[in-house]
Amino acid sequence: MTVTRHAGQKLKTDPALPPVAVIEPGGVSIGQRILFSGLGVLGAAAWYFIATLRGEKVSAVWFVVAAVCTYLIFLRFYAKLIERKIHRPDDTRATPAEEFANGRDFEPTNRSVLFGHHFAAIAGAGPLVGPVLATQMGYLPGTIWIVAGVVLAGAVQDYMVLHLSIRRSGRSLGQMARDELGTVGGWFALVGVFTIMIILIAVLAIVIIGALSSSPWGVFSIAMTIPIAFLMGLYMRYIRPGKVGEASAIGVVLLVFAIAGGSLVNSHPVLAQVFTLTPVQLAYAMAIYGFLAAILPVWLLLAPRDYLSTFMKVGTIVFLALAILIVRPVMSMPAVTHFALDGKGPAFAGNLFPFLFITIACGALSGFHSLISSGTTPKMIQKESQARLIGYGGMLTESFVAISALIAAAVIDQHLYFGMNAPLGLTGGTPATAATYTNGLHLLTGSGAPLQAATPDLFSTAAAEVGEKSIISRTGGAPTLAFGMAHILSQIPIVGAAKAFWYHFAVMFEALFILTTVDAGTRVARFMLSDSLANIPGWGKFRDPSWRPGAWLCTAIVVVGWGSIVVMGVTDPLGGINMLFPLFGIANQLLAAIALTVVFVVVMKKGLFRWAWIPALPLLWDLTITMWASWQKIFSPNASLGYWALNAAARAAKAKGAQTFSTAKNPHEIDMVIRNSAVQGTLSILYAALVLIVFLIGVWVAVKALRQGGLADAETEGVPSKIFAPASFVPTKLEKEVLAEWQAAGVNPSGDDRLPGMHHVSRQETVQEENEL
Amino acid sequence: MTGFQPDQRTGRFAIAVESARDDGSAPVRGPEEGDAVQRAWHGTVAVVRGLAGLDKYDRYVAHQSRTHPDEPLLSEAEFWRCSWDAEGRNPKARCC
Repeated sequence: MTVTRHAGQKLKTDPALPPVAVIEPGGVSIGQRILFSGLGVLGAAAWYFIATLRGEKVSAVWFVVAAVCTYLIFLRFYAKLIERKIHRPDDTRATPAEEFANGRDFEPTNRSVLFGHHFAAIAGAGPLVGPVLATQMGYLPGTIWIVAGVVLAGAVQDYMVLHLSIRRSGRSLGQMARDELGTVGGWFALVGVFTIMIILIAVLAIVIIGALSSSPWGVFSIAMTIPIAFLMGLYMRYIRPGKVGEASAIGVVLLVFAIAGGSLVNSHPVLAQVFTLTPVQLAYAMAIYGFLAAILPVWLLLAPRDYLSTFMKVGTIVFLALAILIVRPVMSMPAVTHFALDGKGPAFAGNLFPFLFITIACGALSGFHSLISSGTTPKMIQKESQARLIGYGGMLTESFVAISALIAAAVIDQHLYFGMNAPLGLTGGTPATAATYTNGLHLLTGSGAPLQAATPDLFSTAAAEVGEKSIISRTGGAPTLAFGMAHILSQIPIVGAAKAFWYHFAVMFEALFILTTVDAGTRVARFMLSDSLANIPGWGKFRDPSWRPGAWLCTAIVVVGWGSIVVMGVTDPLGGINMLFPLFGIANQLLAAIALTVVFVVVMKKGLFRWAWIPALPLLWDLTITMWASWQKIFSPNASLGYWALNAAARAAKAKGAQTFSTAKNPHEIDMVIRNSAVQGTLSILYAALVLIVFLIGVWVAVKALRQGGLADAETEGVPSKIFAPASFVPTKLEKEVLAEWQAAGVNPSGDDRLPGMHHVSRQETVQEENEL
Repeated sequence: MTGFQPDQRTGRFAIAVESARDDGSAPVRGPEEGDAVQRAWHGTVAVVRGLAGLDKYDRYVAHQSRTHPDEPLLSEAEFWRCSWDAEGRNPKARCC
């Protein structure tokens, strides 16, 4: 028996078919030992350089090496530990994709394709924006948290939620919360998901408004994506029905023309005027757009833009990573700035603990991923054992995007970085005032010497180089990232000549997926709302998605919800994004707390107490840091930090008849500060309370499980699998052997053209109904 | 194989267990089309088509003729209409 165990085993579920699962031999082979020792030494060296090198020549390449080595080691060892001790994937059991295959949303999908789909669904503007803002504290804190956070928390959450959902017919997080925590816990989780979704849409909209305001080039090229999508939609439906490939090719070509055409609009006196919009105008435009996009048929806008954005997303990220390796830029930000310690940073207020961990949410730990890991990806995965590659590995890729964004922000000249990220009230908006402001920040070089003073010229030249009138106070992270990308790309011969094109290309790329998040999010939230309303006796009609008045009403409620936060943010006299971004980060981290609570409860119910620390560690860390941040946001007596302290200070100023308050320039603006801080403070309390309730219910269930030595969980029965696919990108020796057996039998193992009788009885209709969140 | 019971947790549905050959023999090579470059190219095309969703109709045809060979197939245009309608009724969230 020991001999067979060494060689590995092949499992069959059907005597007529080749094996459908393998049990790999234990132990680590010599080749792997050498490979991972090498990666360990290389990674340790890179970390050593990042942590100790000071001066003007810290190369970005060390960051890439340190991150990649750490990712690979944790994917091989830590994710494997989770796999062996907790998940114990059973490849003889069919995944939801195989069991309910319907040729549409339930369909076993090639692992490379699914990896791409999963990555495209989880990666958006979040991992780009957070690290850019966090760079105000220096490059070191952000780098450590992005890498350590992902391997111990973010990727663990994504992987564990994915596995949970695979074992539960691909159910969504909300449903799993209800199944595992009971009706009350599930209901609170659902309200949490809904409200958090509203703030997510609002903050992302504000981010992109920051990049588009007073930028005719940007507004024109983004506006053009709407007619381009319409054209593609009409083409695919009426002109050449179903020719999705042709339409996508036309769309990509038109998109490049739209970006290039923006340059002409920018220099045209009349057109430039037409496309110059204020933040408030953009906020209303965004709300109207969001409403229309959510009620228009999918084929006209959403689907065609999706085809465009997947390639833009994957392509641009690969391009940026390659550019960093080719250019090997050096850091201009020091390892740690004084803002990490005094908490007075202009991009967001607060000390490193806890606010760094709130700001870099996506990229290290993102609660929203649990919505993709449950519900979407489980319906496409071929084998349970692939969850490690797709869930854990997919999140590592997103973390790598965050590292790239951090590098892009840290290589920008410090004066420019702070000039771009400080609110208008501080910089004054002109090159002269901005230079005065950044010169007063006591910035230091990497080696600790005072930074050479900025001249107003620095700001005007930088703006002219990227085809903008001004780059001062372009807050929100997106313009800084675009500027950093353009800065890196401009150092590559030939490609780099078009610096202004690359800046607007990057803005467009961020805007594209923010817009997709805005309208997909509005749609999802609308369905959640109408489903909840339908539970009220007599309102059952809301359940019917084709009932127009109901759909419009719910869409309008959702849009007014996030739209009013957007308007509040862009008119905020204190600078909206730096007030709202912490709320966004807190919301995201709290959603992660809900997801990790569900995972933790299931591990306890299964009686795996010895290994419960694996989800408990990120859960407790996340909950501590987020509650700490919420506490400060709610109770801090410091008005630049606490929403209610700010509210009280503004009220006191108003009562005294003051004309100005902080950066609010008149009594009307003081009223706005009072109102905004009250709204933000209320939301902070709401989020914290919702999540604490879910967490406490989770602890109660977990304690019950501990006392009884385990409890029944909601895992479904499952059926035998009749397909085979390797667990990772490259098949192992044993997997190759099985693949060869399938080939010899003349059957495609992936289930693409199975033998009659290989498919399962189709139950997808019932599952689909259940799966509406 | 004798005496070995597959782990209940990693092979609940297993009815038979075979050991790996592990006799040093090379895996059975099945019929392969084209040389290495061609195969790599075809693989890349398949992944790109899958990522972009361009193979959705082909997959539907394969699925339908496998599971319901007696029912008529939707045309490509009809198929896309149905699938967009379904997407409209069942939207998928996007991340931040």
